[in-house]
Amino acid sequence: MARSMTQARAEDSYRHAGARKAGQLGAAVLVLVILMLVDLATGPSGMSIADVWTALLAGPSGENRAAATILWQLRLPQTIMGVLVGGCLGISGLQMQTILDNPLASPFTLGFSASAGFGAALAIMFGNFGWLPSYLAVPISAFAMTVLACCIVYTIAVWRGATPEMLVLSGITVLFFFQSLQSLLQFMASPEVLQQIVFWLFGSMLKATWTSVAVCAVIMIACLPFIVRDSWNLTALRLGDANAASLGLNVRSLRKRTFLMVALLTSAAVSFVGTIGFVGLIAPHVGRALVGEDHRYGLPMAAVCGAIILIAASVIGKAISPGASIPVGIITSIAGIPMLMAVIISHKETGS
Amino acid sequence: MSRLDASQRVLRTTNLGVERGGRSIISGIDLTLAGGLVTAVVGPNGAGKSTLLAALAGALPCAGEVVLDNAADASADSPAARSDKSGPAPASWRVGYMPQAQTLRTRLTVLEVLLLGRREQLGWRVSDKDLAMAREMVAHFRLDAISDRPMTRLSGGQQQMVLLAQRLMREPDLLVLDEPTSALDLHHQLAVLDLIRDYARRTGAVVVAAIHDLGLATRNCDRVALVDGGTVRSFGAPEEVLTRGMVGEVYRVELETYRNAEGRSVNVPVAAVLAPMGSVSKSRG
Repeated sequence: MARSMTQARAEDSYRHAGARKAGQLGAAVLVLVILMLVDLATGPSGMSIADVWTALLAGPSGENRAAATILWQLRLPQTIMGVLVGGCLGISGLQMQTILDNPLASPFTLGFSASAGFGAALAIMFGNFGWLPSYLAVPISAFAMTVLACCIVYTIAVWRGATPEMLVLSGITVLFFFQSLQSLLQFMASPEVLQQIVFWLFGSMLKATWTSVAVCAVIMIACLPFIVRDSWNLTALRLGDANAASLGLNVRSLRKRTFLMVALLTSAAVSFVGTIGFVGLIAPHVGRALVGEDHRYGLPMAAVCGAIILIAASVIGKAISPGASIPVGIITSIAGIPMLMAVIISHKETGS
Repeated sequence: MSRLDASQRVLRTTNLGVERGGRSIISGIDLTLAGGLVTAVVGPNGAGKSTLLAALAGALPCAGEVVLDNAADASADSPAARSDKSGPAPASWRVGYMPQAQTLRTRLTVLEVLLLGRREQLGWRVSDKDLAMAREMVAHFRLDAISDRPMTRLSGGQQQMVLLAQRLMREPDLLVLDEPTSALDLHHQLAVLDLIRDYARRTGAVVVAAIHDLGLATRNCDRVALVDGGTVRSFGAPEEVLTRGMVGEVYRVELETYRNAEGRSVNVPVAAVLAPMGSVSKSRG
């Protein structure tokens, strides 16, 4: 009797925690939606929230042409792209930290930002490769270079075993390789081209279009079933390789396919808008602090946190300098430093 | 917890061996382990205990043969054999393998860790059945007070208990434990051996555990396999295997023999023998 009572009460505690986590996720989504509206309402043209609301309801072919164009052709794709990029970086950041068992890992640890930067610089410098329109050449080249970087790391990992150490070491090699190539291009570039390259490297939502939104969304949705399928497996990996393996999990194969997923999500995020630091590092920490290490909650929470950080950075960027909004990449990097500091200190405290 | 399968299982190895980097770690091991009994694997450091256990659990590539069988159809011509280059045990057999304790860095709670024991059965949502099972295991292992606590906030011994409970969540036919008592105090060492002995009795599972404490192996296990130099020196009932001469020779220690209250003789190691092996026949009152 007594035991069945404690059992019933305790059973509640797990379900209760689950409900609480779902609630937190819902609250985070609400915060994100509010931030999105604020983001839509801020910008150089000075539309009020009411104007934004009517233009939003009127649709892309609304009667107020100026408002419709600003909202539907400029601001909305930027905001939605921000959400998608933040989500991609948040998810891939958590995946990376889990498969490398390292709280300081991020989607960029394995060189994906450097390779995308090199790809973009290549396309900016050598134009459209003769046949591509330039607004496609840059992201395609950035994407291709990221895939190449991924292939190099993956090959080394397959060849020498997909351990965290091997992944990190080969990733760092790839990172420096592409960084050097990019420096070489920057050195050779004319001042005008150099300026364009540097601007690309500041991740900014100004580059977003409906095309980029569509491509990014398609990649994210395509990844979703695989992310869902491995949620429990990534949770199991938190017990360490030996324990996870003895639960019947093929640890190496999990690590390899998660790595591919990270490469895909990251390149989808950075190819269009440029590199945006720290979101992929900080969002997983915030997510974990809120909902714990169960990846069924952790992954969506990291995604929403990533989106919140990115949209908040966008709002701040526009608020600081209303004329020419500061690129979000710069804001996240500046704001990221104290956050990173906090992460390091809190890890020292828990002694883990 | 209660798998109503009374049929006992048998694990047989034939000429089992493991090589690493061209060096033989264990070789020529022929063992028959009966279900329903707890077999202690004992032996000095570096004897090959962990390698043997990993090979039995199918976690290492190995030569020779490991056959997992139901005692009832032991004579059947197609036993679930797994030979040649390792791979997982036959799908029909569930293996619960607990490697040596490592530092855990996860903040997953005790209950979450237990549920992961059902990894292969879990759906996206944790079913009431799996949750009830985890709760039962919490009660069985007396983890009630810590069931919602993150693993990093547990002691090494508590972590070890939780990981053992997690393996039992798998309802294994073969339970392989590498030093399950290494981080435990006296009370919990005995409690754990009671728990796994009870599990073996109830389910007919084959249970193998590496144990350092020879007293524990003698009193609380049903069989002992003494491993030395990569092979099984002796296998059988504890008092037959752990004789004064054998223990003295394999562990290179001097022993004294006492009689306990029940009149049974107890060998107590009193000194390390630094001389080369073979010179430990000196006996004392």
